[in-house]
Amino acid sequence: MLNRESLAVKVIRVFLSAAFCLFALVPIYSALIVALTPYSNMLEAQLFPHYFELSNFVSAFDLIGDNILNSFIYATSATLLTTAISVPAAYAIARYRFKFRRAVLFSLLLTQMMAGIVILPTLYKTFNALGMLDSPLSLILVYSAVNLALVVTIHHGYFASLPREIDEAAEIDGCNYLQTLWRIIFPISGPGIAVGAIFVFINSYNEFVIPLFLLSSAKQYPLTLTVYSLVTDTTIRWHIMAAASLIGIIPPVAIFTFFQKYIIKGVTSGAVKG
Amino acid sequence: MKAIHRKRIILSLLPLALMLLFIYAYPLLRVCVSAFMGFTGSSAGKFVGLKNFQIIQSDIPKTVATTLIWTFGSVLPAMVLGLALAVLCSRDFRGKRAVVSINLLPYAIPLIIVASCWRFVYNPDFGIINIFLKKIGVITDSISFLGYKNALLSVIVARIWRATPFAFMNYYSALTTIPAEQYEAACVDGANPVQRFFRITLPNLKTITASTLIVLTVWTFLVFDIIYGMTGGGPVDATKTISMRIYQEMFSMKNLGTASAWSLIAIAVLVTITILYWKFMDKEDA
Repeated sequence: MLNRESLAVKVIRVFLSAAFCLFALVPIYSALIVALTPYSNMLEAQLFPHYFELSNFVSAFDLIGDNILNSFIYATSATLLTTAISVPAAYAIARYRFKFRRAVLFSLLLTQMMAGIVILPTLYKTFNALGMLDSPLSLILVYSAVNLALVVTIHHGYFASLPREIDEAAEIDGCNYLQTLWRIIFPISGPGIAVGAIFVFINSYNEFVIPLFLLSSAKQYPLTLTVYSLVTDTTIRWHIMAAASLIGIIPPVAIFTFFQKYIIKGVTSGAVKG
Repeated sequence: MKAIHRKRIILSLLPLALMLLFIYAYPLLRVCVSAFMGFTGSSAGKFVGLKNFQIIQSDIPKTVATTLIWTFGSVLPAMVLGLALAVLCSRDFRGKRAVVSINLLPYAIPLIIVASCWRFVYNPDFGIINIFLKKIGVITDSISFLGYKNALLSVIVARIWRATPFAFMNYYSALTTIPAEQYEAACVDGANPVQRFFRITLPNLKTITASTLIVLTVWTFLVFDIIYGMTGGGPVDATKTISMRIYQEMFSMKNLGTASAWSLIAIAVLVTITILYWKFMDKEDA
């Protein structure tokens, strides 16, 4: 009796697992089929790949290689800037009870809830007036700003978990505030800082709306804009678009899979949006 | 508070404050002003009262309805799927790690590439769904998934695909915090799995359900990339959510006034939900 029940449970579990995995993989699998098909055979019905046109990936990489590099540069810069701004701020929030503390926390939550699209039209106008459009620097600034709330929340949670005695001991030993932060707190906060950095990097690499508003020259496009620009070509080169999409998702997917445990922790700390 | 502490706090928060003021506060202020200013024709640069809202008035009901269907049509199914997957993975079984990793994949993919991948799936010529349905004989002519009638549902499915891993991660972690004794006690009392789910699992997930629901709702409400990449808001107005309107007013109509009017509507909704969330979190922390 017990065995029969557990067999039924097992069957259901295998069936549901397979269904969920199928759903998760279908779009990627579809892209793979398209990416492996020569352009002239594109309209053929394929449930399973009939072709292995690997040269599509080579052509796609030639097209987007520079843009992936751009994405890496933007994402890395944004990660460094965000971390540099967030660490002292989160430390102050974690260590001190000051008058505007709740106001700061509420403002952060508000920025986290605010999607870029609502402020981008006026931000565009402001940047235009200041001559800051089409500049990687402006882009990095905005990437950093939109990730600050998330990173401060992650750092804050981490610093709050560190015993206060550590900084008291450092101060008794004659460290000033900056020294305590840089020499004592920063080195032991590796995990917290890493989680924040992973999120800023992936978010910035994946960003599309912000560069869509702020960049105009194709040479500076991040990968996401270039992949999209393939859609608007007069004749859509589906095979290149698919290959470019698949190459483009490798970095975030690799980082995500590698740091999965940390990422789940970050998401479930309530700091991250979906 | 000692002066030195005050100085430290101010200096520590200054860069953060400057960034948020420049990138968020000032643009938001400008939205509030621009929504009541004219930007085209003779009214350019003048205060025009509610004129911008009168211009967009006729589009508001349909757009708000589309936005709500888009939001809840994707958030609720994503949460149900995420919960089901979390319950499925709450016990160890062979291949569980692979199931978890595969189902988290969508979360790492840029939204604009999510859009392009789903365009392959839906394509009338080489899309895998149409091919499959034809092969098993359900249809003879391709379904136009991104046509007027089906477009909204089709973009919603793509959003569900991307949002499910987020709900899953939240539920998955929350499930590990439910004390095992509660289940053991229920087993002793002879509760069957269904009863255990409804009497123990669900009540324990109330907090995580509320916070996941709020965050996913707020964040889905103005998702831009998926819709823009799949339909551009069309055909006609089939998938024109508020974020599509903001973009269209800004770049097709070149009217910052009406774009800001749409933004202001969105901001009002977002701020309201944020305040509710803030109060809710306060209550949970207390």
